[in-house]
Amino acid sequence: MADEHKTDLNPSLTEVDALLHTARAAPPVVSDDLMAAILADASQVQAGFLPPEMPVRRQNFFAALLSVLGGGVGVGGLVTAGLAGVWIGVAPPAFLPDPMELTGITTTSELFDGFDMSELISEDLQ
Amino acid sequence: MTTAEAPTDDALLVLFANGDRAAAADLSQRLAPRALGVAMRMLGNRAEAEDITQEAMMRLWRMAPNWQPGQAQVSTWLYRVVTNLCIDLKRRQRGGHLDLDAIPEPADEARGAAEKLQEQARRDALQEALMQLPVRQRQAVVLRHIEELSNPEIAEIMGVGVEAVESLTARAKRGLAKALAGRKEELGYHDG
Repeated sequence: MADEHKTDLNPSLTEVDALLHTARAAPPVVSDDLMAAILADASQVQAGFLPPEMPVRRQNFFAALLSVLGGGVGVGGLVTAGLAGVWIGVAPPAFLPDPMELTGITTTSELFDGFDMSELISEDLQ
Repeated sequence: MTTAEAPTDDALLVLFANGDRAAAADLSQRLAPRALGVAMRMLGNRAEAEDITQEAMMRLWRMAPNWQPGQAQVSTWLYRVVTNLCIDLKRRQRGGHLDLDAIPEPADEARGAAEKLQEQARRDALQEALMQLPVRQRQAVVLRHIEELSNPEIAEIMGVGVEAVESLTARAKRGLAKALAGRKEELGYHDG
């Protein structure tokens, strides 16, 4: 700092200081073209920072339904359960009541009153 | 206080890295003129200075995600990049060699000063004198007396000690005085 005070006393360095002050007071103006180029660079670089957007996939109705039902495994389970239900309905295990009895319909070998099926069959065989 | 509410360069750079588009514009408005000013004083050529400014700002954008807020000033980092790019350019223009302390050829004396305004003549005279300084002296005096950075900041930018900065700026001012000797009347400086 002491050195700077000394330089101010020197006329030629005072002139230099005045010139430096002039330069300081008139900084260069950035042109519109340069500013636009800088901002374009910024946008380009900034785009590289952002995570890639997830692609939007369009699903048809069946694909959406499959997704809701849990995919292939879920649908497989549903089909298996459905088939098991039909099978149990047709041939229920012994410990379960006959569903036809539950409906109140009784089965008989007599198809029509007065006719015995066994007799009709034996007549045909003769 | 408006200035107290303005985000720091640090904060703006973090916002930029997080995708804030407005941050790029704010940073450019703040930093590009300073980068251009230094580059113009270092190179004495506006077209080259604009190329250097754009390149330095590009490096700033690319560096943004890795910036550690609070560890250094963004402007200091940018000044270092700008001045290094200027020195590299001068070195390439001289075929890969640049003696940083060598006295370069005097700048072309394309004047036409008679028809120029005095202010412009003074700026031109200063630029001509600056171009006659060795690169390191020019760098130091521009950063100290035109950009008004502190000596420790300049030391960080130039990678030297504070005393070396003081020495470089003192020699640079003496060099400018010598280069401008005899032009006092022409530039409108009168005794008294």
